[in-house]
Amino acid sequence: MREYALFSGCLIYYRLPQFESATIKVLERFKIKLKPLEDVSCCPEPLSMQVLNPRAWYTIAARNICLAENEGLDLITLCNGCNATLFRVNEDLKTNNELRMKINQYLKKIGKKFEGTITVKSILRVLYEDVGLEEIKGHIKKNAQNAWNVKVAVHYGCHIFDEIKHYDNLKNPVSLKNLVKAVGANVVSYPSEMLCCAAFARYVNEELSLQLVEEKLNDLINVDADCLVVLCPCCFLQYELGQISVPRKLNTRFQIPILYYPQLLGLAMGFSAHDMGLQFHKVKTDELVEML
Amino acid sequence: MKKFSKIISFYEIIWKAKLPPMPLNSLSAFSSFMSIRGRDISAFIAHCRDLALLIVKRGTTVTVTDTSLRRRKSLNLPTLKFNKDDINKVAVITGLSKILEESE
Repeated sequence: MREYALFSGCLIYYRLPQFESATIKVLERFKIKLKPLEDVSCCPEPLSMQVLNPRAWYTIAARNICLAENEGLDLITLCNGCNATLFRVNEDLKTNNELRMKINQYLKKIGKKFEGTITVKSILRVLYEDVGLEEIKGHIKKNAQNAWNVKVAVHYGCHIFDEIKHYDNLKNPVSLKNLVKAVGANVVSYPSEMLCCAAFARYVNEELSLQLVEEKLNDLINVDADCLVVLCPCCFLQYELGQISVPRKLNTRFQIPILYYPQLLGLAMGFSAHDMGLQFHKVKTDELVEML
Repeated sequence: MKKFSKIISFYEIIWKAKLPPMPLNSLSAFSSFMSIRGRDISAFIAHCRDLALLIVKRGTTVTVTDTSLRRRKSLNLPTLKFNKDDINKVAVITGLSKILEESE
């Protein structure tokens, strides 16, 4: 049994714990155990701190990494935003001696020291590299493998691209698409596949943010997608709650289920919709589940 | 000029020049998108400040409610405490607190 330190992140921990629960159940089948990290803080969120004070961003992130180092475990992130922060900070502090010394001076004042002994990996990387496509295919129930005629669109999310370049093609990524194919589903491409979910833009210009949600959802309808699969809780909320906000503001209606990839994988492995926490979704997933 | 105003000016220059501030990563992906399709940089920075304030005050960006804790319990997930004391100290020693104070 392999073990990772689990970093759920604020959004999954408090608003979408069903993602955490689904991931734990799915990874257990692949003999991967997740140990929740005690005493963590926000990763911190990659945009705000980096813009205001990079030293604070590095130090708070390094403190979270130290907690995993103390456990002697590599760290898994379930959120693209957490990965963007923790992966980058871990890499920078491992490779830049001067920076590491400076950040360790701050960490010393709170009784911590960054050693650079662990790796930070996203759920995408763990499934794609550590588990692997063949192992995943071996766990898919037979009717899904042979006849699950579901059309799935994918959304990687901007924040995963710093890590993704280490194991996938940055301009034309295939990792998530291959993981979707491995569960027996069909992947459909669409023009706005690489468009930012614009969640952060909502606080700057709500109408623009919703227009971009509408643009993507319209594309999904045009390619007849049965659902959209995401890797990030922030993108999930933007596209799911966006389906409630867009009609109010822009007069268009959508009913496209949004799934976190481990939920789709879990369904294909034979877990129930309830096990995967689909009862908490605002956009109904019943028709999609019936297709299995 | 105060530090917070300097930060806004710095990013205003980047936005106007449509240059990403860093090599291709999440921050530049977002800023490139904003430079093409969005304009209001001061609102963006203000939101960054609000988020940073939440992190320093609570250790998390999300408001903890009874509903969220009940949902975790119903899923048999452990309840953990987010650390705010160390984050507060880090904010002070790195100068983040000062920037946040100036911005209010």
